[in-house]
Amino acid sequence: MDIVLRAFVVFFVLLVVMRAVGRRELNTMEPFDVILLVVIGDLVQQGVTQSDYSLTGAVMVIATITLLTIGTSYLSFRFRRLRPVLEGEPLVLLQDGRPIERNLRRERITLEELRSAARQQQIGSLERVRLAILETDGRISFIPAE
Amino acid sequence: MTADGLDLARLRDLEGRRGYAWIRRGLVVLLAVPVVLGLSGALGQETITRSTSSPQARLELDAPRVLRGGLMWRAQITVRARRTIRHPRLILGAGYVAGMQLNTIEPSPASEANRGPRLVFSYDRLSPGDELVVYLQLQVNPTTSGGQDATVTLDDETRPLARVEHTITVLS
Repeated sequence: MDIVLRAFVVFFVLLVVMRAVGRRELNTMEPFDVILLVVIGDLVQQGVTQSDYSLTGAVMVIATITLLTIGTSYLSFRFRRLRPVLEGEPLVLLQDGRPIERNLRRERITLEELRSAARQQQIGSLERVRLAILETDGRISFIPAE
Repeated sequence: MTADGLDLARLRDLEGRRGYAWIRRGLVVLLAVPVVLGLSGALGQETITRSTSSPQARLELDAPRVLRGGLMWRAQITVRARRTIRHPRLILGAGYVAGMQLNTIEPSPASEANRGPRLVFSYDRLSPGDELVVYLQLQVNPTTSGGQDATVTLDDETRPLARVEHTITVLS
């Protein structure tokens, strides 16, 4: 029983951690972030399975985490008010070529990073952008000016 | 079929794949089975108590019924003497050693021996009303699976006084 409860707790701890870290960090991972993610994965595994080496234990943990993933996805789909909590909301970073400093600061994104993201989408200058939006998955969408 | 090679009847109008949603829902229900069984304790390691009485003593065993490979677990054996037992001996089933790590026994027996694959722990004399509680700390070897004989017998030297039948199922 305890292994299912541990998986349950860890799932929600990770959900909180991922929401606290911010989507931009998760989408643009530096080598250090990758290492940190591996370390977190190892710690999570130890916390959940502990000394359990069994196939039965692994099946229980996988089933618990899968059901929780499906459950949170359904809650997010079914209840609009839960969406910002579970998935976050898009954030406008730039409008009509003018960066919105407050929003950039909130997500710890520099103007250079915004320019770099634009260049990766073949946009040479931010002045030619009508809207830049940080999506819930951490990517930045650019809508060019007409 | 469109010029792009897309089968719109199947991909847009779901022709021939209407039942897929139900298959997926069925799989989700299937996933719930190990979770519910796990929460109920059917897949380990809920402890149960088994006991038996005789005119000489009452013997009680607290141990799990189901375990999984690698798990640490505890067994508690309680002997309540009703008459004097000069040479109390606890005989443990082979399942306490085969496929298990026996980490500690508290209190330690005065002497240890074996009867075939079974361990024999000898303790000091018990007077009527005395209680002997023995704690065993164990760990399942990761490769162990199947039923393990965890029966405990109380003897006065070689004379059987009480016996608690117990089997532990180890899930792989």
